[in-house]
Amino acid sequence: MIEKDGPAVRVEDVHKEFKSYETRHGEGFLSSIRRRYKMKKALVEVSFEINRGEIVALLGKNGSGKSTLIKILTGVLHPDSGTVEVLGTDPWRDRETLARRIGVVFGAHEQLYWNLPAIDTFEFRKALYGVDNKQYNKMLKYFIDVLELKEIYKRQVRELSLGERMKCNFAASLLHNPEVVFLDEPTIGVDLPSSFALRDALFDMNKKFGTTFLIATHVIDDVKILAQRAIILDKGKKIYDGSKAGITKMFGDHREVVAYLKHGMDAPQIKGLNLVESADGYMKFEIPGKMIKNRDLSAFLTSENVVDYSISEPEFSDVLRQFYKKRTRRS
Amino acid sequence: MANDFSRSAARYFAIFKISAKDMLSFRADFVLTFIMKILYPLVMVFVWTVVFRTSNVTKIGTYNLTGMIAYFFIASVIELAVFTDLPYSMQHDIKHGSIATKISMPIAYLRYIFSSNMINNFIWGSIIGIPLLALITFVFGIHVSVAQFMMFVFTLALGVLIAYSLEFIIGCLSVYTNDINGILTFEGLMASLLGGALIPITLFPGVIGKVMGLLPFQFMFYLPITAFTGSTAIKSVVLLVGVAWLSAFIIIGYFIWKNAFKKITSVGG
Repeated sequence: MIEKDGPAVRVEDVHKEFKSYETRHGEGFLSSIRRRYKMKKALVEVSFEINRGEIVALLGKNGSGKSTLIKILTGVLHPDSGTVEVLGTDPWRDRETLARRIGVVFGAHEQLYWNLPAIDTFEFRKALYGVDNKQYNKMLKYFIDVLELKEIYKRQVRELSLGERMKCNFAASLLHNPEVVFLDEPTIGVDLPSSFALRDALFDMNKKFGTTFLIATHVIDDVKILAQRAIILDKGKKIYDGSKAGITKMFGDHREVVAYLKHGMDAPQIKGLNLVESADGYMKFEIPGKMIKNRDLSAFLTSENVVDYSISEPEFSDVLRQFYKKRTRRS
Repeated sequence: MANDFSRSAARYFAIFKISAKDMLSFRADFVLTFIMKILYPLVMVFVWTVVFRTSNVTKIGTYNLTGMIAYFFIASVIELAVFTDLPYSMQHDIKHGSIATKISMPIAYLRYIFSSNMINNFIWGSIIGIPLLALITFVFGIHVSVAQFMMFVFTLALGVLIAYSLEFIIGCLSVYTNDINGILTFEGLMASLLGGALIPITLFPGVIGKVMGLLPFQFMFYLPITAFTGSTAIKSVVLLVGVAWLSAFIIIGYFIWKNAFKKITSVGG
């Protein structure tokens, strides 16, 4: 029954609607008693596959359906229609069996017992997931090393910083060395050193154990560093699925030119040069990739008036912002 | 098979262990709760002493003053086992959305939430309740026969199960309402008043007393205490009433949870 091969995750034509209601607070006496129901489409026709050993980022604005999708994949929610398979099984029907083979980290909901040191939660989950002693000791040692938990995991959880708690939460959730891991905003509000440690651990697990990861996030750095592939959701629809380089390509090959100028300079009039930002002594342009050797541009950049300049590929966050902007305009 | 059993026993033991640790981590809270629960019957001692002295009677109903005082001491011990935190835990999980992380664990949510809450009553009831009960028996010179004790255990078990199933139903309601604290306060008051934690229910006049004899709350306090002290024989038809209530609550709980869980898993907590 358990497939050894085949994709780690298969989602086919999944739909999900929520019934949400609006109370008419503030409209007058008794207004908060009346309610109006409204159907909200959380996921529409979502299909994709994730192979074993992949790291995939699930991107989207707040309310785009990321968390809903993660909850469907972990068997917490059931879809209205469509097929969902994780490791060849239906996460809704076989939730308890599948739970031993997958890992879930909800950044907003910690699994740790607040009043106890994290080691107590580790031991609790060891028994709950039926991890044997040898495996448990191995994984515990692994996480202590890779997440630098040595000074942390025996202290009461409530005394820890958010970053330290997240690291412990990550370890607690993945102690049973799951084959597929779903992360819902794992680095939300976490400081840089801790989020780097989390990323290192994630990469390392992927390499060492072949763990598959699906990361729902809106922290751009997570995507930039971690995932080769990104799936973008917008208003419940899958609007992109492919390499992250592909997102950049969709907008053509663009470069950013930043120039620091002497006072009082106007932007030069060169065809194809597009001023994006400017301040006193600072200008940022956008150019098509083929223009980097443009003679007029070179002449301008090397002229007396320019103190310093740089040409670079655009930031991924800018690309994504434009991506969303374009979508909004089109719809 | 044996392996399966030992593994699942280990899981429940782990839930008990971590819940007990969690509960005992509030040391000051634990001690204060304990003192409060012990002091509560003292209030009743003063009240009833005044009632007996001022009305110049030796007996009210079937109780003399000592019997009445013993009654409230036993009631306070029973209270340790009867009231639960189950609805609060459920409300917290449902309202804050942390139920999602618990549903994603390899154990059914109901089993988890029941076992993690029951340990609370188990600790209070066994480690503190039983010695206290022994002390009360000794101090008040209550003679407890084997039959009385069996009846006490049976009625108390019924009472605990009724309380759990009723509070479970209330916990489920947090899916539908914004806050269940009001309902819980009401239920607590009903259980104390109609169950006999404030006044032995035989002291209520005629019709009211008869109606209370048909309600489920008497199993939480009045019947176990009466069984323990052996002051009144309990008719077997009364026990049937209790079993009927328990069955009804379990059936209602089953359906309401089925609906509530469906709602949770279609909205996501």
